[in-house]
Amino acid sequence: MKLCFFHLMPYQFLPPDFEKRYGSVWVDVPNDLFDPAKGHELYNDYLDELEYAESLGFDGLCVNEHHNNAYGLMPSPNLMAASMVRRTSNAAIVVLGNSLALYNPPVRVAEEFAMLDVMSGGRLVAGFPLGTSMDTVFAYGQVPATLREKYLEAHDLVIKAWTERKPFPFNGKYTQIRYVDIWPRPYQQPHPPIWVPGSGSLETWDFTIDYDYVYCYLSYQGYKVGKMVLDGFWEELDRREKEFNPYHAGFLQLVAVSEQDNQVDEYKDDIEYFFKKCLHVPAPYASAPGYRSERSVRSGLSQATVAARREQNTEFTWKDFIDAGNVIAGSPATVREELRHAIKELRVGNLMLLLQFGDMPRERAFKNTHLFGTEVLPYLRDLWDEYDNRWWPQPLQQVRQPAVPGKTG
Amino acid sequence: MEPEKLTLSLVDGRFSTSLLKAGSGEPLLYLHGALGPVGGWAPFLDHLAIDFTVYAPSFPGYGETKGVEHLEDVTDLVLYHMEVLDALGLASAHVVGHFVGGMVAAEMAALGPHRVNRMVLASAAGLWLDEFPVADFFGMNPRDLSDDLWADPNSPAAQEARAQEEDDETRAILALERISGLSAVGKFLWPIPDKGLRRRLYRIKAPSLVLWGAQDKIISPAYASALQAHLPNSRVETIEGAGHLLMLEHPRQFAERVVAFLKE
Repeated sequence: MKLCFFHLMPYQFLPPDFEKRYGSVWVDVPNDLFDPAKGHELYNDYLDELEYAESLGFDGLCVNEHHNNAYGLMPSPNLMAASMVRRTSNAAIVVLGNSLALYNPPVRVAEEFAMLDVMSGGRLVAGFPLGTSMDTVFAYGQVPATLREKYLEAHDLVIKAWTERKPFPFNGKYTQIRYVDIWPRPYQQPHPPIWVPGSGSLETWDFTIDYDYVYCYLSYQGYKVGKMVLDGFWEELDRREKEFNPYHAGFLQLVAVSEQDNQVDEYKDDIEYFFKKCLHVPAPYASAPGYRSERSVRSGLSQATVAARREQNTEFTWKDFIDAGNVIAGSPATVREELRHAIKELRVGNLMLLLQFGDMPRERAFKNTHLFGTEVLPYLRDLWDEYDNRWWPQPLQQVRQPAVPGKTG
Repeated sequence: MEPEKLTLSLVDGRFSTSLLKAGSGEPLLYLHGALGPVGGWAPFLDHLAIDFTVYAPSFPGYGETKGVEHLEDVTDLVLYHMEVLDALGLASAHVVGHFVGGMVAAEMAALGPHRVNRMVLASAAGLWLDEFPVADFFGMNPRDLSDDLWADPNSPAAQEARAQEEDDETRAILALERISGLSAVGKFLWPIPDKGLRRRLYRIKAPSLVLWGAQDKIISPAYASALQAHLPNSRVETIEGAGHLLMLEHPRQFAERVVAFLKE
């Protein structure tokens, strides 16, 4: 079992009536709501929380990419990964990821990921999300009907840039370069493991199965809804007669650990801020025409999950979110049991935990991480021992630490 | 009037174009827009068919027209429309285009001046004015959009359009068609519907009527003046009480203005 600490890096100071006054937390949320002085505090809190997670033994530290977004302050996840590289040494650096169609040219992804992999001593997991409709089509002006084709071409270019040993020309539809010749090239061979976040498109299943990448279902709806999607993925894998391996999939789960079951109300504000403000996105932004293929639209999978979420956000209280499985909350014993159950239901080997969510302040985030790291994580490690995780970094044994004369640490 | 339904197979079957034809007289190619109940036959086309042979193709991605995956840019789109004229055996035609259809009409007139006789640009896309951004109908919620299509959301045309949405099954079919159509049109309009037409307008020889609904909330009447300023041989006319779907909201007035202009 691999257990990763996932951070979204939300802005925590949206006004109390935010979701009534503003149409969306994403795409066109005015940035006069962002206070840079508070932002400075938040980035430092969040990097502290990520480094703390490594010290407690989390296997990986996850960052991701969003644009025009008040719940995700990382338009450049590579900058965050770079901020962690010198201050960590054991954990995998999981960048989930670089939304390939948004990088011009895509060679930049090949280069930056190679830099991160070499600097970290081979600890990078390379994430290639297609990207949400909000990020790609609305924030970055990508044409919905051709987004996936552009993404796939960018993927091919990145893989070739990582694996060719001499300069080559690339004559693509979306990128034309005469000399592709990346310096550095990645530490891991043939390249870092590749994980692909998705949200229910059938094409992403095809892609991760064909290319043998990890399919990560990063929803915020918890394992009960997540099961719908992951069951579909495992069925498709089986239909294509590929061998089952739980490490072929990843899943994100919000978790809130308290000393006692009846103390979980300490997380109530965090839960409500997350679900009511952070996920406040109108339907037209979530699925621009052409963003999802007709095949995926007809499968109804994404619609079902979106519809479930819409009902939840307006009607639910913090307790409802816990009951629905969006958040697994309770004492360490309760969380251990429910999480083991979820992992087995989903059959997932790479679990990403969201332990800071909403406007959870650093003290509570540290406490949640500490309780999880010491009293839950060790009890989950044994799961899936019989399977081989071929999608995990193969790093250097001894990773360099800073060594500046006159400076300690 | 019951139009004739034709299907054209173009470029070795790469495209299958579905179109409706009716009337008699000089050929008139009607190119519909992105929004509203498109692709079918409507009263304003009946009016036009009295004096002209009307050809109304569905834009690739709308109705039964297939092949949009082979069109990557405006050049491809214009050449495709030339193929349509070729297949219909038309050396040239009057071209009346609405919104994206208007953009295509103007591009056809610029790139192939000998194919376009007289031209009507109705609420035509193709330019961008920072002070009057074209509405982002891709990102609007359906209720706001449906109101913004009309000068009067309670006009008979608006009510008829809304009535189509009442039936669950029809609504589901319309939703899928809308996704398919907007996805296709997005290849030529997204994210900003300015793909260089302004640089090419100087080539247009066809006398042009720039026709706009005075209450168009999708693409401001300011664009009518902007187009007219760049077009060598053109004038602007507006229809009071008409919004973006001017030919549906005021079909008779729309047809009268078009016919009068084409007959000049």
